[in-house]
Amino acid sequence: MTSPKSDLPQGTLDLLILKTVALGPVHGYAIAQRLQQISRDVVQVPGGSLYPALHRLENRKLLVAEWRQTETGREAKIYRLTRSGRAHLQTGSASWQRLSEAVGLILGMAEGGER
Amino acid sequence: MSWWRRLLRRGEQETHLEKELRFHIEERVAEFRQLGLGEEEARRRVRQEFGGLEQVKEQCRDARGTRWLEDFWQDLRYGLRLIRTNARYSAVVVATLAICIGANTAVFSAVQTVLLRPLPLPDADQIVLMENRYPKAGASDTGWSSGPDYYDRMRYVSTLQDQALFGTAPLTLEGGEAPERIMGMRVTPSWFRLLRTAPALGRAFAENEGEIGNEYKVVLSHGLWREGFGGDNKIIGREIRLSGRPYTVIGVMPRDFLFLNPEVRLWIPLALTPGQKQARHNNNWYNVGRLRPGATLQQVQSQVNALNAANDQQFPQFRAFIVGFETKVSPLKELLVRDVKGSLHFLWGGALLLLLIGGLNTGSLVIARTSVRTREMGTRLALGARPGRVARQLITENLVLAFAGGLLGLILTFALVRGLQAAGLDSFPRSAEVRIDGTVGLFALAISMGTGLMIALLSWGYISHLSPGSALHEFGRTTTGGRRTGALRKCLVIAQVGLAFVLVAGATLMLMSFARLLHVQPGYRTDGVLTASTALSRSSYPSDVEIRGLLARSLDALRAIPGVTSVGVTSALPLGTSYVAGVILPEGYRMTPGEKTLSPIISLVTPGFFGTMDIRLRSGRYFDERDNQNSLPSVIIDEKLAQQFWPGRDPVGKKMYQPAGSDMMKPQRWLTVVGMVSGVRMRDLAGTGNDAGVVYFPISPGQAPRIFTFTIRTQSDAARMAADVRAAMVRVDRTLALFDVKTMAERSALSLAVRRAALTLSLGFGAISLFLAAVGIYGVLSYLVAQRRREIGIRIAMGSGPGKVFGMFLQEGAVLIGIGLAAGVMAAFLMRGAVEKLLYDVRPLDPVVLAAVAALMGAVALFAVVWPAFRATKIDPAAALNEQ
Repeated sequence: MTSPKSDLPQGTLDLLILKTVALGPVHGYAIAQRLQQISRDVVQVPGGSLYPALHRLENRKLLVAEWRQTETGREAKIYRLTRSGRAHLQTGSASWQRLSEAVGLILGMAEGGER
Repeated sequence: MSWWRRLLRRGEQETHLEKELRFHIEERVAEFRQLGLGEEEARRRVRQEFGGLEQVKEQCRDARGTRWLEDFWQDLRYGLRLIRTNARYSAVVVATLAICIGANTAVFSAVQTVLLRPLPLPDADQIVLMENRYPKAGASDTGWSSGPDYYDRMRYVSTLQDQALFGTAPLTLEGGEAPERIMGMRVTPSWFRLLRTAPALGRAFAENEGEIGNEYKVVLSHGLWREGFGGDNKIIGREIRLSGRPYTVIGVMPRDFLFLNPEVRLWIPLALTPGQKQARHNNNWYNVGRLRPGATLQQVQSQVNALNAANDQQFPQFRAFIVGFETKVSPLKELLVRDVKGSLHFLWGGALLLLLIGGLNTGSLVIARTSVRTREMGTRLALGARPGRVARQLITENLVLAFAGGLLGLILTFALVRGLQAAGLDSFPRSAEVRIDGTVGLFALAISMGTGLMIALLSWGYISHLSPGSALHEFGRTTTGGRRTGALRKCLVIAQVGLAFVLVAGATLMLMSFARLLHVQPGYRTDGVLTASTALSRSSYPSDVEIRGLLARSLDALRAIPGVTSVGVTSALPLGTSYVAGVILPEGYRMTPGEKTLSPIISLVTPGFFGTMDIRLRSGRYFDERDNQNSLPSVIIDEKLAQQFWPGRDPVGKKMYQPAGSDMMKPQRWLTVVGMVSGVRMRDLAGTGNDAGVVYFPISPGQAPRIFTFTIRTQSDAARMAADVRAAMVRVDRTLALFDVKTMAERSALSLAVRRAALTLSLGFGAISLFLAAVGIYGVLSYLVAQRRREIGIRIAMGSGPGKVFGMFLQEGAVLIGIGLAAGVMAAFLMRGAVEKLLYDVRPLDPVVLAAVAALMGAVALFAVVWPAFRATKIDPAAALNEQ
C-alpha cells in the first residue's frame, strides 16, 4: 500500500491534534484514524510522532486525559481539550490560514508574470 | 500533575504509557484482521506503520518535562550500584576525598571565624581603628593613639559619626573571700553609643562620668554579675571595691555581649587628666570610630592624614622625634587577627593545595576506572546514547562519590577541629567562637561538588574523544590503545608530585624555623624560673615608699621558701603581656635630620632580676644596694641599644638622658650607664618588634612600678612551687591578687603556640600530600605495566633480562618524578612570598632545604615505583602473549 505521504511542517501536527480533539473526547488511536480519513490518507502519523505530541500537549495543559472504557470494553486514554487548548487552537488555526493563503498566493502566481 | 508527583509516580506512568500504546497497536491489528489479513501479517504491518514500541516509548518519555530528573535518578541509582559493586575503588576515592575535604573544612571553620566573620557587634564592619605608627623607631603595630588625637579627630574627621577611646585595665576586685584579679576595660562614655549596645540592666556612662572626679562608676559583664553577685537584680546603685576604691555599679551588659577580649569582665569610665589631654604622641589608648553611612575607610584615612599634616605644621617641636610617623586606619577586626592572619592564609592555601592533590589523585583513579569501562561507554554510544547523556552519567556518578567524600569529610571535621584546638588553635584569637555551622557545611558541600565536577571533567575529557568504533576496539587486541589514558595520568602524576613538593617544602621550612626557635638563645634562661604578676592599688600603696616596702617584704618572704635560690622583680617581663617604651639618648647627642629616634623598652628591676633570669653581664656591674639610695641615677642598657649609640665601644661610665617632653635636646634628668647586659627577646622568641633594645632602671626612690612581675629561680621543678609562692604572698599582704603565675617555660611554649599549630597542620598536610603523590605514582606505574604486558612478554621472550625490564620502568617512574619535582621547585619559587613572613632564620628558597625535600620525595616516590617495576619482571611471556 503505497499512498502519497506529505511531511508535516513543524508545529502543524499539534494543531491537527487539537482540532481533532476539539470535535469531542477521543483516544490516540482514533486521532490517528481520523487524521488519516479526513486527509484522505495524505496525513499518516507514526506512533513515534503522535504519542510524544499528545504527551507534550498534555504537559502544556492544552489537553487533559482520563482512562475510560471504550465501546469494545477496553480501557483507553481519552483526551479532551482544555480551555487554553481551545484558545491555542484558535490562534493557531488563524495564523495557519493566513500563512497558507499567503503561500497559496505566491505559489499561484503566473510564471513570468512581470516582464 | 506537578512534576515531582509525576516523578514519584514514575512506575504508574510507565504502565499507563505501555497500556496506551498497546491499545493503539491492538486496535490497529484488529482492523487489519477485519480486512482479512493473517495475525502475523497484521502485526508486521502495524510495526512498520507505527514504529518500534520501545522507541516510541523513549520518545514519549523525552516529551515529558521531567526527563532530566528521571535520568538523574537513574544515574544516581546506577552510581550507587557502581559504588557497591566496586567497593574497594569507591572506598579509596571516598576516603581520599574525605581527608582532603575534612582538612579544608576544618581550616575553613577557623578562617571563617577568625578572619571572615564580623565581630559580634551591631554593624561591626563599620567600626575602624586608628593607630599611630612609628615604623622607623621600631614601633609599627602599637594599635594605640594619644589623648589629643581623640579630641582632634572628633573635631576634624567628619567621616566618622562616633568615636571612643578604650584601654584594658587590670584591676583587683575586693570584697570576696580572696581578692580577685580581674580584667577590666576603661572606655569613654561615647563607647556605648559607638557600639550601639546598651546595658541590659541599668544605664551606660553619662558624658560627665568621663571626667576626672566622676569616674568611679562601673558596668559589669553578664558573667561577672551572675557569678560574682548571684545575678542580684538590685545590684544597680551598689558599691563594689576595685583596687582599693569604691565604685558604684550602674549597669550590667547583655549576656552575649563580647568586645574583642572575652576576659574583660567590667567596664569603668576612661577619664583623661588635663596632662593626658595635652600629651601628643603619648599613645596609651585604642581610638575607634564608626563610619558615617556611605563613608569609606579610605576617606577616613585621607582625613586623618590631612589632620596629621596640619598638626605637623602646628607642633614643629615634634618633627625630629616623630620621623616616619603615620596613622593607619583599619577595620577594628584587624587588631585581633593581624598576628595570625599570615599563618591562617598559609594554612588555608596549604589545605586547598592538598584538596587539589586529592582531586588529581582521585581523578587519575577515575580515569583508570573509566578506561576499564570504555567498552561499556562505547556500547552505549554505539546504541545511540547521546554523548551529553553519557557525560551526565559520569558527572552524576562522580558527584555521588564526591558527595559521600564530603559527608564523611564533614564528620571528620568535628574530630579535626577538636584536634586543632589541642594542637594550639585555641591560642588563636576568637578560637572559642570556632564552630561548624551552616556556612562551614555549605563550604564543605561546595568544595565536594567542585571536586566531583573536576573529576568528572577529567574522565569526560578522556571519554569525549571516543567514537563508538574506537571505544569498542580499544582494549581489544592493540597494546597501544591506552596510550592516551597513560599520557593523561602521567600529567596528573607530575602535577601531584609538584604540588606535594610545595606542601612538603612548606612544612619542612616551618619545621626548621620552629626547631631554630626552640634552640634560640633569647638572652635569658627559660627553665627553672617561676613568674607571678601583681598590681598594687593606690589606696593601699599610695606612694613609692609603700611600694618599695612591700617589694622588700615580698622578696624576703619568697627567698625564704625552701628550694628558691634567687628572686627578682621587673616591670617588663620577657614574653609578658605589655611593655612601656621611651626615648633615651646619650650625652652630647646630635640628631641628624630625618634620623629615627629609638624607643627602647623600659624595665624597672630589682638587683636580683638579672641573676634570676640569667641575663649575662657583658661589661660593668649589675644594680646593687647603692642604686637604691644613690643620688646619681644609674641605668643598665643592653647590647642592642649600646650598639646603636656606641658601636664597638664600652658604654659603661657614659652619661645618658631622658628628654624633657618634646624637646629632644633638653635633658629631663641625667643617668649614668653602670652596666651592659646581653640583649633579650622581649615580645617573642623570634625577637620581632624589638629593634631598639631594652633599658633597665633600678627600682629606687621615686621610681617604683605598680604593676610588676616576680621572677623566682628554683632548684626543683618551678611549676610545683606555685602554691608555695601564693601562700608566701598571702602572708605578706592578703589583699594582693597574684595573676599569670606561670613558669618561663610555659610562657615560652605559649609564645610559640600559634607557630606550633601552624607547624602541626602543615606537617599533616605535607605527610598526606606525600602519601597521595606516592599512591598516584604507584597507580600510574601499575597501569603502565598492565598496559604493556604483551610488549614486556615479547621483550622477555626475546631475551631481555629482568634487570633490564625493571630498569625500564624504574626509569619511566624516575622521569615522571623528576619532572614533577622540577615543576614543584618552580611553584615553590612562585609561592615563596606566602611563607616568607612566617619563617624564622630560614630562607623560603633555602637550597639545602629544597634539595633535602626533593631527595626525600624522590626516595618515597621511587619506592612507589619499585613494586610495579618488580612485578613487570615477573610477567610470564607465554601467558602474556597468549592473552587474546
